[in-house]
Amino acid sequence: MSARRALLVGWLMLLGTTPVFGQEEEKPLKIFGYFQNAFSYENYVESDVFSNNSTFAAQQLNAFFQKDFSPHWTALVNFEVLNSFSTREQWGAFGLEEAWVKYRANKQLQVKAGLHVPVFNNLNEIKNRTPLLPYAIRPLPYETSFSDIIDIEAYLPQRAYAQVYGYLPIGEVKLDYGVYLGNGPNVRRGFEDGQSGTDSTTTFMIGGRVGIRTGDLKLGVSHTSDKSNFLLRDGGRFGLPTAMLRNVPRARLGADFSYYQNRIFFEAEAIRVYEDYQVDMDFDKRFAFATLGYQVTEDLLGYVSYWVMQEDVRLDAREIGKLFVPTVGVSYQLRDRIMLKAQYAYVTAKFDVQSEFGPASERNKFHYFATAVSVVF
Amino acid sequence: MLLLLVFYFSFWAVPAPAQVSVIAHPSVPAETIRRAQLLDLYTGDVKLWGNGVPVVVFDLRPKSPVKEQFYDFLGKTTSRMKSIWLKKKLAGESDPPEAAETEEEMLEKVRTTPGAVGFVSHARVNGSVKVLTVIPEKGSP
Repeated sequence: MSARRALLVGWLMLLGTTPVFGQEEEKPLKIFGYFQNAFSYENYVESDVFSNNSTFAAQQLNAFFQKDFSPHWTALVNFEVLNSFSTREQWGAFGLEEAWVKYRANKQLQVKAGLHVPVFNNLNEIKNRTPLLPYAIRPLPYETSFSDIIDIEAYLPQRAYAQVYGYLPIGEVKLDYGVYLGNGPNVRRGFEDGQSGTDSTTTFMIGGRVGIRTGDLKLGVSHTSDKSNFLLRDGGRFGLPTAMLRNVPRARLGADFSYYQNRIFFEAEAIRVYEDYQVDMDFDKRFAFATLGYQVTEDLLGYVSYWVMQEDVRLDAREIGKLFVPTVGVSYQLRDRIMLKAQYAYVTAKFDVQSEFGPASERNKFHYFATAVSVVF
Repeated sequence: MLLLLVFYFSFWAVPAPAQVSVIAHPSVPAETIRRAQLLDLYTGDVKLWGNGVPVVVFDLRPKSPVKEQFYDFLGKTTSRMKSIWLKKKLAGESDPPEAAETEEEMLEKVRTTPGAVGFVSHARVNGSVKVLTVIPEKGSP
């Protein structure tokens, strides 16, 4: 269904290239995009489960169709292809990432209507714009190509359908704001209960960010609020009344900071996800990263970064998963439209379980090497 | 005595520093511009002039002291500016500035494009464009 819808939207955009309406302010349809190919190698130093592996992958390809109807009205469609997508081999993913129309009244007030990636912290909106980022592998919740091994949707709002945003200048300071509305997390995955891809509840996700910019300093706080029914179907398994598992409030909190000074840049973010169960259960999540970078030359940038992720799962047993990732990398702007990237990380994954059978733990440690080329077209 | 004074001052006079002028199309509804306002134009944060005419900014493609001085004035490196422009482009917000190959081309583009802003050496400025501000050479008082 989503592929058909994507084709339909693409066809409608192409139809818009013909001068049907004869608007003088209209500009020609812009078609552009980018892709990133990567090679990665995992070398395990401690694991009972995993073994060394290396792989090439077409991590991501995005194709944009943009139409500026006037200085105030813009529409954009963004198709995204992940992980060497192939229908023949049935792997990877192809999707409609964005399809929105924007009205820009002025710098203080802009309204985006339609499918889009909402603002949350500094990176969420641009997480998939790989040519903007020096990382071959992005800080974990932002690494869309890991969506089958990390529940990135729990950490960050992936899509919204209406957003009001802009900034208010106060002297040299700009006060940024953004408020948006989207589906709750209870989106149908299959056909068994009705049309897939639709919210199965009447609740919404409401979110926003406020921040300030002054010079090259930018900081802000973000928040989303929605209600989940994730455990509703399994409630009986835990002997809990379903009423306690229905519309459980979930909140994401975020904080971001970035600063550029001449050749040095620093950026840091923190994300905390709460699920407010009225019984003794816990599914909280935390993530934080900090990156210090140095622009060696106009084209060469080096950085060190540290990522920490923690997921709690407390039901009848308590399980805590933690990831620690110190990483270092470089990016080189070969040409204006071609960026080469290399990155090394030492990943430590710890899983500690406490149950009626006693404590248990698992450790995985590995070196991770990645190179990538990011191309804008 | 007068001749002696002229000779004295001409002897001690140093060459005028190479200044960069921020220029605009004559129709632009501004007579001066501050650094923060110029940065808003070059980062795409402000897209329309007060009279509703779209802002069109121009860049110089080759590296040059004039280009370096201009972006120094804005407080950004050229690589940072490129990053900002790419971010705006990929967000569907605005296009990167059109780049002129030479200062003469920049002058011509600004002269003929309503709403245009650019920068050239002050010595190249003629009456066909409006000068919004003059950036003194780095290090000059």
